[in-house]
Amino acid sequence: ERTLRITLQIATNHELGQNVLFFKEQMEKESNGALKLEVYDSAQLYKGNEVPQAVSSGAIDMGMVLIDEYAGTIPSAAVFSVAFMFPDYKTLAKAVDPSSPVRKLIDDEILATGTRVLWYQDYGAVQLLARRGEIRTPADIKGKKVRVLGKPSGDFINALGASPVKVGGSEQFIAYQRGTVDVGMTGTTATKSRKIYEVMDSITITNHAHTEFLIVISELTWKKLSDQEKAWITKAAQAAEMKMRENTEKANIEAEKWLTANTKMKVINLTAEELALWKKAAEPSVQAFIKDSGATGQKLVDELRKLQ
Amino acid sequence: MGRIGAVCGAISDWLGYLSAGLLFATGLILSYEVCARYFFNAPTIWIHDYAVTFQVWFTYFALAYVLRSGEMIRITAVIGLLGPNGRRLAEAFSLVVIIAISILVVVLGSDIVRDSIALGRRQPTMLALPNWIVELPVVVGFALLAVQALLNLIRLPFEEAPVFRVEEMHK
Amino acid sequence: MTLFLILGGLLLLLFSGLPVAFVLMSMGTVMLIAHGLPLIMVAQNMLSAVDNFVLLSVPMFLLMSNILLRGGVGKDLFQAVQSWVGHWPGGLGVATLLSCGIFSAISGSSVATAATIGTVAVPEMTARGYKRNFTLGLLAAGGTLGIIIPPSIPLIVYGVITEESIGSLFLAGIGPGILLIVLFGVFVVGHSMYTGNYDRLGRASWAERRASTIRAFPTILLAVVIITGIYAGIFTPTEAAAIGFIMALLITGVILRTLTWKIAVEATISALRTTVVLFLVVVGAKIFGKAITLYQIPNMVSALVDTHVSEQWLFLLIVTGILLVIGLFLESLSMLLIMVPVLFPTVLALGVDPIWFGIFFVLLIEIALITPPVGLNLFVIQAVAKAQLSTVVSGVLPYIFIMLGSVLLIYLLPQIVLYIPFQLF
Ligand code: NA
Ligand code: NA
Repeated sequence: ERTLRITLQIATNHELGQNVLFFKEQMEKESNGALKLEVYDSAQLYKGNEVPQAVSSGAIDMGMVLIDEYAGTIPSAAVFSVAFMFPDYKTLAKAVDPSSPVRKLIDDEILATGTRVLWYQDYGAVQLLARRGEIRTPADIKGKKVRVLGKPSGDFINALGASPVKVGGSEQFIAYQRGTVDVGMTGTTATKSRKIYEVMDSITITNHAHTEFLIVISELTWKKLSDQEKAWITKAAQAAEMKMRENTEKANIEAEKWLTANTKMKVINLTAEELALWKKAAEPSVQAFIKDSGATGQKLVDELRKLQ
Repeated sequence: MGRIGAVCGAISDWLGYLSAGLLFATGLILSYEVCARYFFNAPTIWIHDYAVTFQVWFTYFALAYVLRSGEMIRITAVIGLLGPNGRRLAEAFSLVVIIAISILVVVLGSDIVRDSIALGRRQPTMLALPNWIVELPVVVGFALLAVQALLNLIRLPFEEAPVFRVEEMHK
Repeated sequence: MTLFLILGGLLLLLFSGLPVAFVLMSMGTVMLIAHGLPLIMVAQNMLSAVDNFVLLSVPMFLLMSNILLRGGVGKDLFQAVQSWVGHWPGGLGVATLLSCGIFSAISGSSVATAATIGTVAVPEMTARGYKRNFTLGLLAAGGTLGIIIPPSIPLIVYGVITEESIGSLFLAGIGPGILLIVLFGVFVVGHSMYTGNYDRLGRASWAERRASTIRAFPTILLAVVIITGIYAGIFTPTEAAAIGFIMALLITGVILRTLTWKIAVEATISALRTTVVLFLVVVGAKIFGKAITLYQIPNMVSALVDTHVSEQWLFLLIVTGILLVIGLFLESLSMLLIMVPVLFPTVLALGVDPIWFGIFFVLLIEIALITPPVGLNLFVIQAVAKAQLSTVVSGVLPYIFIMLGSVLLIYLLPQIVLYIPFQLF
């Protein structure tokens, strides 16, 4: 009998946390209770940015982490935040399939830091939001202050001739409400759950980046496991990954519909021509990504463009 | 031993002044950021990263300097009532715990620093600073603190017993 | 059983005189060892607790208020307020109270507020025939306004632990802060009129009022800029503090001309000292907090509350009781750092507004600051006035009841807390 501990930065009633509980259920059932999972949610133990170090050092067995948290150490891990690399859920699903070369490139680099990726949790696409009026083309945000999350989104906004301003998740609502930034950036589902629609006029469905969470396990822990235990975990992880992927696409589309139907926020879907303008304007940020991440980054971009 | 004490004290002081300078500089660059955003409409995404890095530096570089004068939040209501030997004993206990914790932090912290350098860990921010830049000050700060606490412990039996006043609590 | 061992160990170590930060660190470490958990967490938290942009507002606000303090603005403020209200019945008391309120808007700490205003007001009030215990009690209680009226170090720390917006917390503190000033003011005037233990001051001339107000004006303006800047979203609380620091340099350096190199250096070193001391406690609490989490204690508390308590009012009543008792002994920041992680899951589960709970908690910390035997504000005023602790305690008693009344008021009328951050546009 063995107990594994996992740290989450979100609550277990959140979709991502629910997915981890599903994994727990599957793994405990699969192993007939020989493997147990203790879940520490809501960043009680670690905040997202602490997870890579905590897991690789073995301070905790497993963790949920936004893949961008690895981007400092492994620049190619930022690929999900590089603008327009994943135009739709189909491309994304192909790219992060366990058999995909894209995924292998990234997973291998993460494994070199003493951390094994168990599964990918898709959490949906990232959009732009306007405080006043609406955004259709890159010209609409030129010279404006835009909320960004990290380096890739910062490069993207710089490439568009706007000013990136870093705003943390907990200050996001108030920054929009008071106009600290003119343009917001967040997921469709977060716009709903964080009540962003109360303070922003419109959301433009750019799908310019993807929020991808990883469930990782310490290589120190992994090496202690028997082959049987590894098999149980792998099987449960795959089940959880597939479940999440299906749910997320649905949840994102539903959130979009919900925003249209129930709020005064305008939901803007772009035409193919408008989207082409965005992609062209964002090209320098793709080049910045390739420059930062070297040969691996180039390979990733090539593979991804093949998928589109 | 007096010599070690003097060297250690000088390093602590020097790092303490450096920290004060860093604190002052942090105030300046953060206000610059606000000006850059509003007057020049050109926010600098990197100032936040530098400011937080400075905060880690000035906190841990100043650790030994600040704690040397015994300025810590502690409850002296009980030990303040003890006789001279009781007070010495209480102080010795505190110093032993401080030394033990400091050594633990230095040993484990060194592991973290070594790990970060070996893996080339960097922060996922615009600056992508190497992690060891913020991890090393923790080790330096607690190493100095350990030496200082040890020297205080050795001197304790030969000096006048420490006096605990209520004022110590709100410094 | 485990719970009692932990509680016993904690109290034993606290009273052994071991610095609070190291009490928490060593308790956490021992608990990890006892559970066979990796110790590397101890070192990780040393960094992660401090590697935080929001927490940066603590040294910034300290830097700002230290420069103002050493630049002598406390005296200017007091004089200006006194010129307007000094001739009222109990006017000097009201002036003291209002000065505490205004200084609270530039200082994040109760101790600093009590010390600054106390240094100026105690001699004045004593000279004007106010009873000693009345004077000292008013200052000890008035000083606690420092942590409810923004900026506030405990509110920053609460925001960091719970990931709630510091901006919203600051705005939420304004209403209850004003409420306390009004309640305290009514008591001061009423008490003075009833007992007659004061000499009435003459009404200040308009020229005097003008002169003293002009001198205090920049400091008041600074407080206004900070809070409206946060409210209007011009800057984050951390940036507001940095702007406040620059303005403090300008006010004392250019307008009042009291700033010298020596003052700047001393103010910076003093801010640094306080920061390091506070952060070390924050780090210790984080390590201890992780250990109790790994022992599943917050979950146990949640489950316990869940099975026995289903109503908000009962939960809040129990929390009030617990915090009042802990507050007798524990230093204010430690109280926050130890108890919030334990209580917060239940707060969310019961649907208590997390911003409201932050303010509620800070009001109880304010009470803890003035309840013996361990109450920092009592000690500060005792030191400032070179008085007996019992004198301060006897003067402060009525305020404890007034503050408990205000806790009840914000429960009955949560809008006092939530209107400014969430409804006032
Ligand atoms: Na304040
Ligand atoms: Na108390």
